[in-house]
Amino acid sequence: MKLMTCPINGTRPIAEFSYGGTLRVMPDPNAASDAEWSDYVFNRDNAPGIKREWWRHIPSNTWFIAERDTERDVVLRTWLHAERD
Amino acid sequence: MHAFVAPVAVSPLVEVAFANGKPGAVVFVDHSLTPRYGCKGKGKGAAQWLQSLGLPLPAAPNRWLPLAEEGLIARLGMQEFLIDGNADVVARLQASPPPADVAAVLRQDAALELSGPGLSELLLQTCAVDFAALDLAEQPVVLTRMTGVGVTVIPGASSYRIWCDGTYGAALWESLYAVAADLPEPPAQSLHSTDRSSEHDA
Repeated sequence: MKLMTCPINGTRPIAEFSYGGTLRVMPDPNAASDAEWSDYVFNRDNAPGIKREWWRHIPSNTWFIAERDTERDVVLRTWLHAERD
Repeated sequence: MHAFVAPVAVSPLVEVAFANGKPGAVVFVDHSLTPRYGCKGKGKGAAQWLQSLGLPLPAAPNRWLPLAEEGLIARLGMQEFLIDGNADVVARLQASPPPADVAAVLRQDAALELSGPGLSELLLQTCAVDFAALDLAEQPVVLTRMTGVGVTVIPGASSYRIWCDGTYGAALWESLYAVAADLPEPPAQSLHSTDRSSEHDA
C-alpha cells in the first residue's frame, strides 16, 4: 500500500489524497512579458526528478506541499505551505 | 438565523435506517437530526469568535472537547470547528452573526453512532485507520475514509460517532450494514480495554 503523510492528519493510504499540480511561482501579471506569461500558463517541466507538488488530504480538505522524487516515486517530505520552504 | 445553516428536516438516513434491521454484532443509531453547527475562518478568527461566545476550544487540530451540559466541539483543522449535540449552544451560534473573517459551514451531515461487540472488526474491515492504537485520553478526532466515503470519526470506549456528507449517508450506512451483518457476535468487550490479564493467564 502506498502511503503519504499529511502534516495535520498523519500517515494515510494514498487513496485519501489527490494531486494538485506542481508548486510554481506565478510571475507578476503586470510585469511579466508575454513570453514569460505564456511559459507559466502553458509549459510544464515533466522531466523526472525531485519535484515540489500540491497535494490534498481529501477527507479533511487539507492542502499541503509534498517533495517527491518522481523518478523513484518516493515522497521525501511534506509540510504545510505556510510552515516553511 | 442564517437560512443556509438550518438543520435538515428529514434525516438523510431515514430510508435505509427503517429498511434495515439491527445486525446483532453492531448497533446502528441515526443522529442526523441532532442540532449541529460548523464554522471556519482565516487566521484565528473562528477560534476567537467561539471563545468570545464562551465555548471551550480544543488546543490542537483533530481533537474534541465536551460542552458544558451536553454535546461536543470538535476541531477539524487549524481553523474549522464542529459543534454537535447542544441545542442551546447551536441556537446561540446561529443567532450570532459571525465576524467578517469567519464563515458558517453547512452541516447537514448524516450522523451515526455505532456500538456493539462487532464494532472493532467492522472498523478493521472498512477503514485504514487503526483506531485501537489511538489514545482516547487525547480525545482524538479522525478524518479519514470509510468504505470510500469521507468521514469524521470520534472514537469512544464503547461507541463511535461518525459524520459524513448527507448525500453519502445512505451508501455509507448500507455498506457498513452489509459488513456488520456478516460478522459473528463475539463476546462483549471494550474496544480499548487495557486489561490483558486474561491473555497472560491463558
